[in-house]
Amino acid sequence: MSEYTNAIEIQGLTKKYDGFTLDDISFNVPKGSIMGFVGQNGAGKTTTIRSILNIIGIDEGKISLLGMDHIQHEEEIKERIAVVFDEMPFHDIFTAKEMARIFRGLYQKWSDETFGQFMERFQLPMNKKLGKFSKGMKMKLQIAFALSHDAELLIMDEATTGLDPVVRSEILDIFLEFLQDEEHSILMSSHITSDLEKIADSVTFIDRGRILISGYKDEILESHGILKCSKRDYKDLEPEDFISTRLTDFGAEALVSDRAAVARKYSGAVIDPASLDEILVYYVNKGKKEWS
Amino acid sequence: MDIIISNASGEPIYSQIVSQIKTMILDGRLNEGDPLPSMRNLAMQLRISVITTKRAYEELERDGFIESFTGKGSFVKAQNKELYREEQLKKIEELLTAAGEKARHCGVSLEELTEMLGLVYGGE
Amino acid sequence: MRLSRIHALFLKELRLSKKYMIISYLALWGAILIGWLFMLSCLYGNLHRAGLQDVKTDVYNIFRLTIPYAGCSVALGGLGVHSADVNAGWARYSVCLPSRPSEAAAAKVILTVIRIVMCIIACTVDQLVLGAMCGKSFPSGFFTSLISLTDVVMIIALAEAFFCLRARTAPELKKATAQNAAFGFILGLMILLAIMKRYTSAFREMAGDETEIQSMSDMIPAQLTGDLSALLNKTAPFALPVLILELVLLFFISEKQLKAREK
Repeated sequence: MSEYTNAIEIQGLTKKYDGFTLDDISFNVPKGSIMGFVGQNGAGKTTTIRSILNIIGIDEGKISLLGMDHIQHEEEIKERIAVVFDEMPFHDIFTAKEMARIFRGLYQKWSDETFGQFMERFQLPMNKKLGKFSKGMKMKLQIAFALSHDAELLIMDEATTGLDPVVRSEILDIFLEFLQDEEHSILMSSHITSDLEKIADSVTFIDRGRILISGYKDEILESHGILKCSKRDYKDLEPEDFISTRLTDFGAEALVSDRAAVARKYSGAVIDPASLDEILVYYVNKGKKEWS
Repeated sequence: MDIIISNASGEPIYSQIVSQIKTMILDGRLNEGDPLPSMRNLAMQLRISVITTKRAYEELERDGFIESFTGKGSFVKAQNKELYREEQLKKIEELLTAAGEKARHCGVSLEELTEMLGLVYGGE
Repeated sequence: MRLSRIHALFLKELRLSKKYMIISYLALWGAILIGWLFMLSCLYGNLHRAGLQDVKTDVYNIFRLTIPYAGCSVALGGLGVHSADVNAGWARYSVCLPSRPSEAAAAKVILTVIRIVMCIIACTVDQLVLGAMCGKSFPSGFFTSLISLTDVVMIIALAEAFFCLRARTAPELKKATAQNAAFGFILGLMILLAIMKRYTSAFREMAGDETEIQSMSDMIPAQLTGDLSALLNKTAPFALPVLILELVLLFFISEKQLKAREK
């Protein structure tokens, strides 16, 4: 077991395309934790994950997984990580049994026993062609494969998108079980924040190729709040105190990043807790400052 | 061991855990040496972040209610109930002093103040 | 390079190409059997009774030329494994696996070798039977000619590896396939033009010639067949080394293209 503090370390990741750039992305996923990587569609989540996995080449930056450089030690890293995509990347004509045979040869630590247990737990057939699986079954199958070679790091790209709440709940429980081992970590990208709101240890928001905010979920939720006031009172607020403001017909709602300080400064103001969804939306509109 | 978390109450989750465990220790439901669930296990059962449970356990340890040993887990620490009660009484006295001063300051009578205390206490 | 990984990837290649391989191999044997039936007809059946002069030699020659060519196409034609990989999403996903591009390339080359061997077996059996029926002895230089033909057809496999293996997504593959087709077309056209240029005089001479066409052999100028035989004789000792070289080249081209990262 190699010693490392962060399962994933990204510093200054930059990738340029025509019309879209991943600009100076930096964040860490501490070992033993689960990070929610949140952003709208097209914000850059998948591009970032593909960069981490060396599916695409990067222009600048340093990425390390499990304490090792993501290109220099690619083979060793990939023995110890597991990846789950939003679409099952296996051929329709294969059966689970045939795929397991292939994975057995690919991974040193593959365990048929563990895989069999997951297949039974998920009630998935071993000998049915994968093309006939439902969407939820396909996702569970991917997870069964992912967790059967003793992986330390699980990277998931929109894995729960498009699944019904019951299946999502089952899958989240599996992830929490995975995390019972302190050596295990998860990076999960999603635009469904409700899943992450509960179980994520840390969150990173990305929008248009830039990191908006990254940190412990609890801290972010506790320190942020939505200040609600009339439009007249809003004019008295100082702009640096809030991230952005939503103007409605009936008043103004401003996201603040230091709830305690703002409460002291404008005593008597109504400041509600903000959900991750709301925090994301207000940060996305940071440039506009005022929106409706 | 029952721990009930409310997402709707304004109180932070770690703080709810702390006060519930403290209560259980003080009224004898948890005794000296009893093991607590691991931080990760508790997080999984309650479906919250392990950072939250870690924070709760750290505060409990700071306040002398539990002790944590790496590799073994966390256990309830022997409580000096008398000392704790005395400390709490002192805090209550401070709060009452502040309340009394404020009442005198804006002309609230002792009867009114006592009535208010009765209502608030009863509402627990 | 780990053997278990090469084996695992080979299983994948085999599973995906099984259907096509079976169908094309059966088709090859079907063509071979048709040839035998024709020959039987020459010797004992309707064609014999038709009384065409030396028709059995024509049948022998036709099938002697076409069967090896069909065999090579079967052995080296595209199996669509890579396009299946791309469409399933496996091409991209496999980058996340611990296997190296060299292992995937090795698996592909091993499958190619197996297909070539299967083709050689089929063609050899065909030659033995056909020759026996006709009373012709087993031609010396049969194997080297066959392998020389394989060397030429192998260019298709090399081109496909070069153009298409780099693609990981459907749009990239579409573009690569078009490039591959264009290359094949241009190459084929160039060869055809070269042949026509070299032999126009011979063809023109034949066109002017008034003698009746009595057999297949009369339709092709003697110069062309003569040159071809001479060429095959000259290149005979190189046939096998060139094949080995091409297989090695196939491995390195495949490895390089599989190693390339998406933009």
